[in-house]
Amino acid sequence: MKNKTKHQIVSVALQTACIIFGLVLVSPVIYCIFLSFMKPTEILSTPPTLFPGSLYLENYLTALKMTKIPRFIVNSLFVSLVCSLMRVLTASLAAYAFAFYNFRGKNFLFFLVLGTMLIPGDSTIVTNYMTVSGMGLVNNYLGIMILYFVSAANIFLIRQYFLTISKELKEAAEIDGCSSFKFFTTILVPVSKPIIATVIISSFVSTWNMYLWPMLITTRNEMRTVQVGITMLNFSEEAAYGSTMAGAVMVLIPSLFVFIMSQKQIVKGMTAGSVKG
Amino acid sequence: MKETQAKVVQRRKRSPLKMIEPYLYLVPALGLMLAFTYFPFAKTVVTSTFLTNATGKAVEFVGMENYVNIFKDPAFVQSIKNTFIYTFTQVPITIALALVLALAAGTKRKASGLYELMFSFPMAVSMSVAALIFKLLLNPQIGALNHILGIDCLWFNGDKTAMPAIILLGIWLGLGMDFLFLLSAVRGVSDDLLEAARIDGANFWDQVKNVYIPMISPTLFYLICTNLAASMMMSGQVIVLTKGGPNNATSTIIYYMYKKAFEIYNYGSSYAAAIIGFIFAFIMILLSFRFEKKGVHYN
Repeated sequence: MKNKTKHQIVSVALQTACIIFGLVLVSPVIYCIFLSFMKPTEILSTPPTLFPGSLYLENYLTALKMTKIPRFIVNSLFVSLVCSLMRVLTASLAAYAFAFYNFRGKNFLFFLVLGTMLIPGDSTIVTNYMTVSGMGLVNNYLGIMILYFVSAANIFLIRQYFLTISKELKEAAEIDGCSSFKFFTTILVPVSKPIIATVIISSFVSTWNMYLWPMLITTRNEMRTVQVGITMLNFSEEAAYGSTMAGAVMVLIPSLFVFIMSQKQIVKGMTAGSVKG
Repeated sequence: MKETQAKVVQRRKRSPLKMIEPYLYLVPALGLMLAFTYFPFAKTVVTSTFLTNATGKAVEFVGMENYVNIFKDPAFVQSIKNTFIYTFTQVPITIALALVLALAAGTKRKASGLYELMFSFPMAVSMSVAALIFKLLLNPQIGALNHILGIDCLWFNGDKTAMPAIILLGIWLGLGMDFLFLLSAVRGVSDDLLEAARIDGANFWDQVKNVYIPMISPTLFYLICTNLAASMMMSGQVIVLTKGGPNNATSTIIYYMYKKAFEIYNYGSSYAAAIIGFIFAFIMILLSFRFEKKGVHYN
């Protein structure tokens, strides 16, 4: 009995400690939201004000007026959507070959795919810039996206899933006169919906958060993605802190929404890649 | 019966379309990988041994001269040092902290949902948004952190404090993902093992050392490996916040590469720096594989 109450006290203490630390972790974002509603005088006061005195919306209007945030968001949505769809397409086709076929050089080609994970994208970014700008794709959506149309991790993940699907399913479909490409589109992809959703969502989040490449390959303001555009909001005048934070909040909302809605799927997408197989 | 089946299979195999079919499925993925990973990598290696003109074209073979030059540049040596300081503080602290949080959150309790969300929350925040927030949070005059802690620290503006500030941001950005990985690993440890350890009189610390750590070692290994490689390539925060300054205190290898190419147009040096960065990242991956052989327990 005594043991049980002791256990309960420990449990409550632990949960309280966790919540307090959690609040500390989240506090920078709460701080950002508070600042976005503060008047410039409140932000610049010393000692700093931590809570907004009123719901001051001017910062949001300034951020919207002075920058192209809605345009940045549309750009990012388009880029992330196309990239994640392309990734799923290239990855599922490649995974189909690796999981359902035996062919010469299969192991070599599979290692070639996995080998790309050993070459960090940033180390080849200057040369890629030369190639892509040489193709005339500066300030072009295709130029922003083209490096992100394929991901070895996605191929690996989908292949692992395909391997769990019986090969007999394919043989049965072929006996019924189904061509193997038709098998892929009408049977395999529909039964693999969970993994495809996982790949799309995790790709969407990772391309939404890209910074260095979109920054290099765009020079015109209206082609910027949110992550790049938001840092350009970094007005030098001190009075603009509030509107910078308002911009940050507007950029944050879509990713928070996606994160909270699909946290489980993102985690599955990431952790599945870590399983040795 | 078997013979005829074999014949059918053989005949099917002979059809040329059937033969090349799997290769066709691989064309998009492999084509993109060759064009945007292997080709630029090879080209970077080759061009790093050439003198380049202002548009990045190779003009004259100079052997290792670009490498010799960047190693003579104190800014590059400083960038290597900074990259290592960043990597070897940010990665261990982030993983250790994430492990503590994962162990604390391991058992499902009433408030689990709430603090799990809070611990993983930084994951939803992108690098550039977080950089803007931290810039203000750590502002020496009007930032909240100095005010709350009652200190007078220059953070991003000080020679000695800029790197710790970048590291702090790096830890905050990396914590959420590492926590989620480790949480699912901790929850995967079987209750029987823990029960057995408890019967043997193991206290909590013994359980962590002898049960949890060995059982979650594959996940730990994966995180160490990917985090080390990613931290060796860090440049985003530096570009947004400090431009390598003050006095090169926060310049990293990839930042140096970026600056040489896009601000100074010295592509030869930039490519050489890129290859040095790649080699370090690669060594990190190899080292973590050595660690895997010794310390990782797969059941």
